Amino acid sequence: MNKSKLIQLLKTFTKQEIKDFEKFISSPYFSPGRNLKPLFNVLKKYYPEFNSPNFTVEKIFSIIYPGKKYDKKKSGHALQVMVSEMTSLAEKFLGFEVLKKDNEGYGVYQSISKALLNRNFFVYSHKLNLKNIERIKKADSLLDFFHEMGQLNLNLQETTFFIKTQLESNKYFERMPLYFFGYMLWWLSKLINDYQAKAFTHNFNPKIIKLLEMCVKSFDPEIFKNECYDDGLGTKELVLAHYYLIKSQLGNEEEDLRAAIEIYKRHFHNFTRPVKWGFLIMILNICVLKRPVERIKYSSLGSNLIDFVIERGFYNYYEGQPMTRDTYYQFFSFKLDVQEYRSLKAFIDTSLEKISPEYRELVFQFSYAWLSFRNNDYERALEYLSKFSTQHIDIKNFSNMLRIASLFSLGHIEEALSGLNSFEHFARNNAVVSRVISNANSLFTKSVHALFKYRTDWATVDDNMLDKIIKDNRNSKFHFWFEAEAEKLRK
Amino acid sequence: MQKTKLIALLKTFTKQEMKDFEKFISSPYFSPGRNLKPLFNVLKKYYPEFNSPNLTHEKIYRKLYPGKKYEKKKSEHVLQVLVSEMMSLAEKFVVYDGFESGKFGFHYYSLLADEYLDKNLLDLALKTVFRNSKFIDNDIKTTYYYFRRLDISSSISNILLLQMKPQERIKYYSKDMLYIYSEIFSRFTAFHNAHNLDKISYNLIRKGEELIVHFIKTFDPELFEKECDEDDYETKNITLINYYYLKSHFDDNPKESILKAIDIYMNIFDKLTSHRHTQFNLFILLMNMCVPRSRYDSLFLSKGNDLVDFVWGRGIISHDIKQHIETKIYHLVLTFKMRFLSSGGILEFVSKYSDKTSPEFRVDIKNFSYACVYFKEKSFEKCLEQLSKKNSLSFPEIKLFRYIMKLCIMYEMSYFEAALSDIDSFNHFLSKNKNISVPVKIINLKLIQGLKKLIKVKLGENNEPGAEIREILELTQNSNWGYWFKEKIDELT
Repeated sequence: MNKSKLIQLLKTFTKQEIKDFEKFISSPYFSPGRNLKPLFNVLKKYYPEFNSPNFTVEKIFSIIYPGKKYDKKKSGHALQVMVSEMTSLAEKFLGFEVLKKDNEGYGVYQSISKALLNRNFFVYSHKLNLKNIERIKKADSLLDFFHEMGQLNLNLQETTFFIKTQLESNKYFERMPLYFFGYMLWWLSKLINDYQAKAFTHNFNPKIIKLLEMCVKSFDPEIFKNECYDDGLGTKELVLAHYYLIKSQLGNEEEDLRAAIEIYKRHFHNFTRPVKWGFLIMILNICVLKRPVERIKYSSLGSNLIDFVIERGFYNYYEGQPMTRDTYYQFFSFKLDVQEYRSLKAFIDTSLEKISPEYRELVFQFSYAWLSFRNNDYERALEYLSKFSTQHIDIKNFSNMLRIASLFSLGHIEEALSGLNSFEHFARNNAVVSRVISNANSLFTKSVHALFKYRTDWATVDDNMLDKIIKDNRNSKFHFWFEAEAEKLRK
Repeated sequence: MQKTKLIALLKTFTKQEMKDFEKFISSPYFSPGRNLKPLFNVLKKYYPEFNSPNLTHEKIYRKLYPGKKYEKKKSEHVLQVLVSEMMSLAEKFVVYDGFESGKFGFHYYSLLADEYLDKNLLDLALKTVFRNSKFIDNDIKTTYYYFRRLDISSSISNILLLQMKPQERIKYYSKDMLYIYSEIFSRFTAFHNAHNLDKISYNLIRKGEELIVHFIKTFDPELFEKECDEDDYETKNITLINYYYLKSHFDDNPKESILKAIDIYMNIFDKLTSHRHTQFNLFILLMNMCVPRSRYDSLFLSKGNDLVDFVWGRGIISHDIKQHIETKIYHLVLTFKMRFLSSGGILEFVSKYSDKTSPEFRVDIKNFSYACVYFKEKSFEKCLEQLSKKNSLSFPEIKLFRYIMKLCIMYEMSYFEAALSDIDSFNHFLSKNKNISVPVKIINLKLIQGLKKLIKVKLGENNEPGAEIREILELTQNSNWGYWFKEKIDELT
């Protein structure tokens, strides 16, 4: 019983959802014919854990049918039928709940408008579509902006045709190229961004790049500027911004990325929240991908954009929500490249207030470990590092390196060496780690091995080799540490 | 009361919907707090017409609140609040009912999958997305269909990412690209067709076409073939057909594109057996490519004919197995076949397919069809007899075709004066009729101009018959009657 799909679902329900679900199953409109209320009344006693030893098929049966004899096969089957019906109702309930909540009812109104159109209520459907455009502007979880706007414009074209004139309906139709090119470029930028981000951390290579390149080449921004109408929401510029974003990912054009950021900042107030968020994440992902080549340049670009959005209180996909752990990690990874101790500490401290309370401690330990390391306080860095563990591949890597470097600087050579060996083993044997990360790990371990060698045998210290280590690590987060350690060895 | 939105909406409800709505308003899950059942019980007595003189605010108020005094302003306000709440429930009902009956199934399962994702129930989310994929398997392959496929592919990809299965996710990237292209071409095709239709019908020139032209010109079908994997629904091939369709409109030499599209279509036809709608839609698309061009190039005439025999011969004569052949399509194919089949061939076609047309118009269609057979047979008396029978086929294409046929018969029967007089009235009819699109008008005006000249040549009223003949050929060659004019000129020369 405990492992049934129904219980799995009910375990995830909030208290309010449990209350609403009770109304749902009591609604004659949804009733499958059988009265499921007695079963629900029993189950809700075990909510939310559903792990009491009394929670067995036999017990439940005896409560629902007091006085009836329990027959394992027959009674089990009777209960199974009820559970299966309630599962199906629970699924329906979830679907309807999300429909109710979805973007201030956008989904419901969109469906009402369609249903009314099917019944030839043109004027009414038209009004709802116009209202829905306003809802899209305010929507906080509607990523498919271009598709939905395209769909709404098609609906408006249809209703205007019936209630007004063909000419008036034309104004909605002629926006279609704007939305479908927007839709295409949005998808492509999402796809390439996602693909490159995954290829950065994981080892895989799907064959999409050539098709993607062809698709982008088939879009001519000049023709687009001349041939497309705007809708007053900055959509035309947004489409172009997506185009520059894709181009910057396919090539190495910094100008394209800057052009996209420029448009983003200029139209920040115009764009809907999901568009703003999606775009921000894409730009930051591009900067992350380009950092191994030119760390400071791309970290500065990202860091400036982060300041821009934080100043405007924009750090979560949903309005009014705290900063997530992953968002913080990403913002922090930019800041640690370009900010000095004081400003970095200020960033950490102000960000901590914005982070969701359950992650605050973890984020604090990790950030302060780095901050102490930057301040050459290796003891403290190790102390902070010992207080958390994570499965996040980037953070895990980074923490391992931080630990090895701190141990090395403190002279705990044996411990550092053992840490280095196990890190090397982990990095070498982890097939899912991408080549970029694998190369970065390998450069780190190779460089630290060289430092070990020089440290244990001063006679072998070679200035040229030290210069090479510094040069090779110029785009690594640890470049300053390698510089400092090399300097110590030279002395 | 009768004019409220609520009554207008309730009028559209079926009996079953009324029953379900009654349950709906009694459901605590939707209840706004106020009991709307008494109002519903009063209103349902007036269903379905809602036009009784008793359906007034006052009467309803008195039934709802017996014994209470009716005060126009106050009582109407009370009633208005109830009506407004019921309207809001009725709106919700049509949506929820759409979900219940499966009309909005895709949207529903998408929302459910999202909710599972939110609750971190990844296996359930994935199962729901696969269920959604099955759900749309038999959907008509419109732009919206490809949007849904893309949505499904991307959702699967997203869930696999959360399940830490990056390798399994790879194939969905490739699928995403396939669906992006399929959706793009499907949207372009819809835009281009609507654009053309508006250009012809309303003389509306819209921006945007240039973007499509550029896109089509830079698309490389070979690269697409090589780099894109096919899915289980022949999406890749259908996308290529759409591409070649669009290309044929922008190419100086569209022959290659059209032949490729036909070739792909015939190759995948049998694989689309469970997608009759797609089989038929693509057939119409390809016929639309062949018919206009068949007037310039006989290759398209024979290709179009092969296509009809291939598709109709396999029983695909309509979108739905229960549907008959649409009158317009039957007419298109019949007039197409008339251009090169003998009377025997036409008779065979008519005997085979006229019984499969809509019963409502079948008699009229048969009369018209036999008029065509007799025309080809040169039994003009019989043909006129068929044409003179009462005919309710009101499509402009059929009306105009019948008119021209009559004029041709007059020529054949040497009723030249009557023909010339009818040509004048036909000319007048064409010039005044606003329902006929400009290109169709032009084709018909050219035909009657050609016929006028033909009569003059026949009667020896022209000093330079050679020049006149060349002009006749030019005027008529791009029409369904080109073959007939050529035949008549051959007879004269």
